[in-house]
Amino acid sequence: MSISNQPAPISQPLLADAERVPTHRSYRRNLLLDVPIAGRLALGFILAALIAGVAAGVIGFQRSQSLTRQSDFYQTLLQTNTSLTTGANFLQLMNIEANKTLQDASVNAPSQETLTQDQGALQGLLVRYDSTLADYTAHQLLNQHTDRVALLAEANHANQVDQQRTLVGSVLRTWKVHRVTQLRILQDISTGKLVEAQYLARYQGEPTNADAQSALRALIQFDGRLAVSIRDAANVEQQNQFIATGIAVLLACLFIGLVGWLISNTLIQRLQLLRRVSRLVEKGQLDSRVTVIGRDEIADVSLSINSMLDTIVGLLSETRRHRDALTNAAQHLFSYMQVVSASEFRANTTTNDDPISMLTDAFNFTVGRFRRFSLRTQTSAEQLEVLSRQEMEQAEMFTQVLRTYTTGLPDTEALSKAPSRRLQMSATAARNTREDAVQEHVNQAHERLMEVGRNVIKTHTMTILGLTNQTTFALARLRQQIAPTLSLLTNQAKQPTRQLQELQSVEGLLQQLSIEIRIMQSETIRSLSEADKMLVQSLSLLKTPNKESLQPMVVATTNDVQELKRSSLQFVQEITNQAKLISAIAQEIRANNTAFKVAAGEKSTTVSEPQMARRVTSRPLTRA
Amino acid sequence: MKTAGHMRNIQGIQQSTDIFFAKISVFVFSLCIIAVLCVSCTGPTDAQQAPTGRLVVVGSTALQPLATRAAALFQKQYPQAKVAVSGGGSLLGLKAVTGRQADIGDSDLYADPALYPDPNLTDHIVCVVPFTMITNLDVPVASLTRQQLIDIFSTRKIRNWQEVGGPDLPIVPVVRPTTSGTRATFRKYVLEGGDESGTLLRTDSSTEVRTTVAHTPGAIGYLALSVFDNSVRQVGIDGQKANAAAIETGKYAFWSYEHMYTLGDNSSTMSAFLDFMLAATVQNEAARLSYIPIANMKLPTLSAAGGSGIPLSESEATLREHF
Repeated sequence: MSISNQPAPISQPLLADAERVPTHRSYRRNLLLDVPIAGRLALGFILAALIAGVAAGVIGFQRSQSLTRQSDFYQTLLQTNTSLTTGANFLQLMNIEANKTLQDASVNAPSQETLTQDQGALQGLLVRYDSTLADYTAHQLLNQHTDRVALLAEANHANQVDQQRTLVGSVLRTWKVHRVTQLRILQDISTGKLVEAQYLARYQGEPTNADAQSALRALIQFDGRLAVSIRDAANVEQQNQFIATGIAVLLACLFIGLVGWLISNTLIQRLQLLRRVSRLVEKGQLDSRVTVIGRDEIADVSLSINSMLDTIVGLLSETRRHRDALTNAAQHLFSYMQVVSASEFRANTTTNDDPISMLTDAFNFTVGRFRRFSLRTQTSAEQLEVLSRQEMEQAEMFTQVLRTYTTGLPDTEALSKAPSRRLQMSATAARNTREDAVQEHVNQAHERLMEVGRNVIKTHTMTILGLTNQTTFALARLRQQIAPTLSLLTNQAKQPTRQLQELQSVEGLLQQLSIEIRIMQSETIRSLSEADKMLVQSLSLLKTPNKESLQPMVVATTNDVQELKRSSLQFVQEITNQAKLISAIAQEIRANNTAFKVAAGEKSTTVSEPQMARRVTSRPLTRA
Repeated sequence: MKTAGHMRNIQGIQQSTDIFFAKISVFVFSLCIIAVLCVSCTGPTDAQQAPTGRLVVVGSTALQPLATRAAALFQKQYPQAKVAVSGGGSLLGLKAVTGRQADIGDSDLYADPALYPDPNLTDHIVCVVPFTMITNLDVPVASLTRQQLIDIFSTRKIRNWQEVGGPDLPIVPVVRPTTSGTRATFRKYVLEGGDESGTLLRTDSSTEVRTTVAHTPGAIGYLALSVFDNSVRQVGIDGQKANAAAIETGKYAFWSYEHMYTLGDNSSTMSAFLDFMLAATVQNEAARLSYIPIANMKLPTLSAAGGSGIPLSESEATLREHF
C-alpha cells in the first residue's frame, strides 16, 4: 500500500455513510395530525362541549316541546271547560226560560211583548248552546289533534279518544232531543196550545234537559280526567326524558372519551415512538429514525430530532474517517520508516494537504533535527575524548620530565626516548630546531634499528631456516634413497647419476645458505654501523644544547625546585583528573547517543506492532 | 442507572395515572348505567299492578248479560279480582252507586244532575243497546211509524191492528214499570215525552216482556235486542229495523247508551275493569250479544251547526226528520 492511495479510503466512508443513513422522512398524511396540538385540544374540547351541548339541547328541546304540548293542552282544556260550563249554564237557563215563558203565557192576559222577549231569549240560548257544541265538535275532538292523541297514548290512555267521541255523541244526542222538545214547546206556545206545551215541558222538556245536562257533565268530567291523563303523560315523559338524559350522558361520555382517546392517542403514540427511537439511539442504533406523521409540534420535534441524528451520524462518520486516515497515515509512516531506516531515516512526502503528508513532513523535520543533533553530539564527544587523551599524555610526560628534572641528571634513556625529551623541553618552554633534528635522527635510528631487528634479520633467519629445512628434507630423502641403494649397490650400479644429482643439489643449497648467511652478516654489520653512526651523530648533536639549557636550571635553588615540583605535580594531577572527567563525560555522551539510537530503533520496531494490529481491525470499520 | 431508574419511575407514575383514569371512567360509566337502569325500572312497575279486590256491579238488566260476561272474562284474566254482577234496573243501579252500596251502577239512563248531584258521579258509556218493538207472532205488521207508536201507546188513538194494516185484533200494549230504563228511553226517543198506558208489568224484566208479548195475542211491547228471540216478531220503526248499521248512522233512534256510573274511579281495579269493558275482547263479546260496540257509533251531526241565520222553526223540521 502506498501513500498515494490514501485519498481513496477517505472518500469511501463518505459514500458508505451516505448509503447507510436511511431517510425515514415519509410523511404519513393524517388530517387530524396536520392540525397543531393546541388546535387539536381545542377541537377536542369543542367537540366534547358540542356533544354535551347537543345532548343537553336535545333533552331540553324535548322537554320544552312536551311542556309546550302539555301547557297547550291544559289551556285548551281550560277553555273548553269554561265553554262547556257555560253551556251547562245555558241548559239550566233554557229550562228556567222555558218555564218562565210557559208561566208568562199561562197568565190570563199574557203580554205579547213579554212572550216574544221570552221566546227570543230561549231561542238565543238554544242558538248559543248549539254553537258551543258545534264549536266543540269542530275543534276540540281529540282525534283532530295528533299531538294530544300521542300525549294520551304516552300516558297509556289512548281509549280516552274514543271515550270523548262517545261522550260528545251522547251530548249531541241528548241535546238534539232536548232541542226538538224546546222547539216544540215554543211552537205550542206561539200557537196557543198551552196545555200541550206545559205537558211537553213537564214530561219531555225537563227529562231531556236533565239528560243533556248529565251528558254535558260527563263531558266536563271527562275534561277533568284528561287533565289527569296529561299529568300521567307528563310523568311518563319525565321518565322517558330521564332515561334519555341517562342515555345521552352515557353517549356523551362515550363520545367525549372517544374523542379524548383519539386526541391523546395522536400525542402519546408518537411520543412513545420518539422515546423508542431515542432509546434505540442510546443503545447505539444510530440509523434508527422517527417516522414523521402529520404536521404538528410533535412532527416538528420528530423532524428536528431526525435531522439532529443525521448531523450526529455525519459527524461521527467524519470523525471515524479522520481517525481512519490518521491511522492509515501512521501505518504508512511506520511501514516506510522500517523500510528506509537502513539507508536514510526519512519518509518520502507528496506535497499534499492531507494529514499523512503533513505528518510525514513533521516527522521528517523532527528526525532530521534529531540526526543532526546526534551527529553533532558524537563529534563533540570525540573531540572531548581526544582532548582528554592529549591532556592525559601531556600530564604524564610532564610528570616524567619533572621527575627527571628533579633528579638533576639527564637520563641516558632520553636519547632513546626523544619524544619525552622533546616534551620535557616544551614543558620547560625551551625548544629549538636542533632538538627537532635530533629527535628526527633518533627516531630514524630507532626505526632503523627496529627494521633491522624485526624485518631484515627476521626474514634472513627465516630464509635460513627454510633452507636448513630444505636441506634436512633433502638429506632425509637422500638417506632413504641410499638405504635401498646400499642393498642394491652390490647387485646393480644403475643409479649413480641420480644420487650424484641429489648430492649436487644439496651442495648447491649449502652454498646458497652460506652466501645468504654472509649477506646477512654484512647487512647486519652495515646497518649496525649506520645505526652507530647515527647515534654518534645524534649524541654529538645533543651534547651541546644539553649543556647550554641545563646549566641555568642547575643554578636554581633546591627549595624552589622542590616547590615547583610539588605544585607541578599537583597541577598535573589536577589536569589528569580533569582529563579523566572529560573522558568519562565524553564516554557517557557517546554511550547515551548510541543508547538513544538503539532506543529509537527499538521503538520504531515495537510501536509498529500494534499499529499493524489496529490497521487490521480498522479495515472492516471503514469497509462496513 | 439513576436516570434509568428515574425513567422507570416516570413510567410507573404514568402507568398508575392511566390506571387511575381508567378506574374513574369505569366507575362513572357503571354509575351511569345503574342510574339508567333504575330510571327505566321504576316507571312501568307501579302501572302494572294486577287488579285485586272485589267489585260490585248493580243495575240495568239490559246491560246485565254483557256485564256478567265481561266480569267472567275479567276474573279469568285477573284471578285475584272478584266482580259480582246483579240486575235490578237502572234506577236501582244509580241509587246503589250514589249510596255507595255498589262500586258500579249500570244504567240505561242518564243520571239526572238534580237527582244525583254528586259531582264525583262519573259516566262511563260502555256500549249501545238497541231496542226493538216486538209484537205477538200473529201480528204480521213489519213496521210502524213513530206517530202510529205514539197513537198506540200514548194517545191510544189506534186500538186495533186493522188501523195499521194488520189483522182485526185489538192492540195490547205491554207497558214496563216506571223503574225501567227501557221505558224511559221509549218515552223520550219514541213517544217524544208522551205517557204510555196499557198492560203494566209487575217486574221490570226484558224476558218477562218477551214472554208476555209472546203469549198475549195482539200484544206489542219493546225490549232490548239482546233479549229478542223468535218467539216474538220484530217490528221496525219508520221502516228501519233495529240493526247496527241503522243505529250507527243515526237512522234508528230507539236505542240507548249503556252507562256504568261510578263515584270517581280512584280504585285501580275499578278503572281496570272499566278499561276492560272498552277493550276489544268485551266489545267483541258485546257485538256477539247483539249490543253495538261503542267504537262503531258515528258522531251525530248538528244540522243547525253554528246557529247561522236559519230560523228555528225551519230547522226544527229538518231535525225531526232525523228521528
